[in-house]
Amino acid sequence: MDNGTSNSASENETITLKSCDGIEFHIDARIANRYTLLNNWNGGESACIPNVNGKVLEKVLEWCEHHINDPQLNCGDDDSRRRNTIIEEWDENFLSCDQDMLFEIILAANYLEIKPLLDLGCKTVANMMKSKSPEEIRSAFNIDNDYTPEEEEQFRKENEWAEDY
Amino acid sequence: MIETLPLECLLEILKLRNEKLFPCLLVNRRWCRIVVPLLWKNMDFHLYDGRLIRTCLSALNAEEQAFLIPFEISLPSYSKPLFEYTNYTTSISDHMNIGIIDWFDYYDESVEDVSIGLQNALRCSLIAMFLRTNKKLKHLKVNGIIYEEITKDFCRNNTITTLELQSNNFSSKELMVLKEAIANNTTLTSLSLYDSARYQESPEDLYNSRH
Repeated sequence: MDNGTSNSASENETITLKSCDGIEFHIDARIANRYTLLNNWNGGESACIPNVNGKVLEKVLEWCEHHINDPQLNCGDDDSRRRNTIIEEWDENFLSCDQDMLFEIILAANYLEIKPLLDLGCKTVANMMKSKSPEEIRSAFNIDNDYTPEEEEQFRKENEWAEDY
Repeated sequence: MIETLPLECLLEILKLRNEKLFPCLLVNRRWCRIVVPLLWKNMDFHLYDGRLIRTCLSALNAEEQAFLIPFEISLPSYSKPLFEYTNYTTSISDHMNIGIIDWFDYYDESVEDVSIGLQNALRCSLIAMFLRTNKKLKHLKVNGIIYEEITKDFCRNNTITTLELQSNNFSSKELMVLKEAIANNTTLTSLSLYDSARYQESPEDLYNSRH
């Protein structure tokens, strides 16, 4: 079936993916064909995905399924991907999960080399930091401040030229 | 949990910020290691800011500070910078001249005019420091006198591809040193010389010296 992508598998073909905790997913083979790493594992009819648990893999595959007919992006066009900061409503709702799941999805997308999902996750986190002070960023993401007060003050001073940048 | 993301993911997130990066610098040490290269890569546009010049001056070593001795100016006792910031910069422009005057206003409000000699010394000390610390510098534009010691550094530099030098009167000795330095440089692809006193561009002889 020619859907404008490089997928060569037909719509009815399925393969089985197994998460690191042993949960199996029967997916449209075109999804595996679309993403290099999944494709590499897809030597046979089933593949095991280490490092990604069933709960997260389910979410990742849900996203892949929804976007199966999206045009393939040119991998080298990093800047145009970045400039596009608009997040579609479906994607926004999809990532309106708790922070732990959001970061798990980003990790999985990075690991599985699903670039558009990785971009989407990164954009979502970047938006969450908007207009926040360092203290607010720390508190929003539960980050420890490991600067000594003197160090922080010196660091602030050395870079204060960038305050409005 | 954000802290479990690998550095490359955090880098992607921070590159996507469409607003200022300064708050991210101050989050913690891990974040600052990512943000400093992003921020300092393009600091060139801010070289007119005396606060940026102050941070750059704090990176001068004893040899570079020695250019200032004849002017009996001792730099305020700045602490050693927390990073070798200038290592990340890819371009240095002549905005620096404005930044030097701006910095001097902070340093000593009682002095109304910074002498040209002192401006030259400060600029040369900074350029020497940029050439020493920077491993990524591609473009360098200097407006004003350059000391012979620094001209010689051009031949040792193996990163600069575009060099623009403006002066109000290149002496023949300066040109000879420059010619020798550039003849030995292997990375330079573009050279612009502008001598405002002679009001002409004269790169041909220097260019020919490389061939």
